[in-house]
Amino acid sequence: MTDLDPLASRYKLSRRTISWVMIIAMVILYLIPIGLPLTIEEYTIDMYNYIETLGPEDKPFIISLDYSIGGKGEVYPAVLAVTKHLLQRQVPLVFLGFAMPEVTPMMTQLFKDVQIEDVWGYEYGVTYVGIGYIPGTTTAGALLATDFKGVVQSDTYGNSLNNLEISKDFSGWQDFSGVFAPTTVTGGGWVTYWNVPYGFPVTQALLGSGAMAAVEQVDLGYIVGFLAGIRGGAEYEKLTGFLGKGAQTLDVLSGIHLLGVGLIIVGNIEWILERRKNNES
Amino acid sequence: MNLETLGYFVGVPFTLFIYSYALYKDNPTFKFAEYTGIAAALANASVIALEFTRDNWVKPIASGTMSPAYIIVLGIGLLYLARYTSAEYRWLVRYPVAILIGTRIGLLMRGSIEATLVNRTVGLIRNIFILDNFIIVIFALPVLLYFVMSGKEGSIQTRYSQKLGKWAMMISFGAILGTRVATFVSWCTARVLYVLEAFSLA
Repeated sequence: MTDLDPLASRYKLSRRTISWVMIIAMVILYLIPIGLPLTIEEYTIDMYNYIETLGPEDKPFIISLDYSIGGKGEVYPAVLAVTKHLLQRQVPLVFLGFAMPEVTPMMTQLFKDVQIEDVWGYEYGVTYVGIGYIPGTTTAGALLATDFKGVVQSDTYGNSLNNLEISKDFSGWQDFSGVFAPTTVTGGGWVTYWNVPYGFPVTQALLGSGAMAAVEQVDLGYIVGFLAGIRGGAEYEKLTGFLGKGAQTLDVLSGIHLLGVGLIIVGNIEWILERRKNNES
Repeated sequence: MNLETLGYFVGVPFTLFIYSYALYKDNPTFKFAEYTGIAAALANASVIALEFTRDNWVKPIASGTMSPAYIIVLGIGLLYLARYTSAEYRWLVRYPVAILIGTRIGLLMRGSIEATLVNRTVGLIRNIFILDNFIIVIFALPVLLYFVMSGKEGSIQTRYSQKLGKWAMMISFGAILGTRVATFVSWCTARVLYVLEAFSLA
């Protein structure tokens, strides 16, 4: 089909055909949902149960928005569902991020989408603060644990953290109750720099491809629970009752994965037939 | 026209331009969208870096509140610009790079060794009779043997252990590839939903 795949022309089912089939299938599944059942993973339940233990009297809880615009589609349903759950519990919140420069626009979009002040009655500087992007990647993340205001002195709007009620006493990890870290990068710093040295509670939302490593981290006690991809978001939406794009997209994903399995079978049959034909000739 | 509608006017054509590569072939609209995306990301990162420099360095220096320790750090940071000087001074760029990498590796070592090696190994040994852990050991040892030790052709190690190591790696690579594909499909569904929402179809 293209210069990148010179062997593709040998096969009847080209990459272009597969792309078209998948896109058309996605559109059909969005327009006519098939309603596949959804079971909830234990890691999602662990995370839900942990957040249920938090409340307005707890120390501020960090939401670390370390996802890229490209990966937002996969983790954002989880971000919305977990943030709404935390808002429902009236937990004081601190929004920041150090892995992606897009943190600040992502944060303001999140404030708007959850209607943090209008619907949940949060007050800026008192029950929540938007610190935004902290340059320095994981090095900054590591230093935040021991010298918070040495790394960042003001919020994203230029207000000094010393002048805001919620943040005036921030000094390190001990001033926070936990973190929810939706991330599209591998290895995020929260486990390495906050949990392992200090036992800080970490919850995460990851790309589907990060689920395997996360399972091990839960088993070893590094993270409390995690949500993997859109499926994790959909599970959390179901648990909390805040239905959104996760539930809407999950049906499509399940259908597309079934289609993918079908295409793999077709591809293998084609390959076996091709090999048999070559052997005979 | 609100911002969301304006976003659709930009976002939908760009989504279609990008997917035109897979659905049709390489073409000028794909290239335009690709280069615009890269340029926008770079512009965004540049603005953030400049703002950070202004707030953390320029303003404190101008107001005379800069700590002397920060001025040393600023000096080390400025050595990055040595890259653009004559060959005589270009080597100076190695200092900030070495300090940065050294600091990061030092910080990483503290948590990573404990998290990824010590605790995992201890946890594995303590719970060896759990099926998952048993499978990890059965597969991890042949992979280590495959890379670390070589055997004589025809020996037991070559015949069985290396073969098992190869199988373990193939299964692992297959699982990684599978989850990657699932992730890309997931991104694609999000874009399809975005386009459908733009036309009020979803």
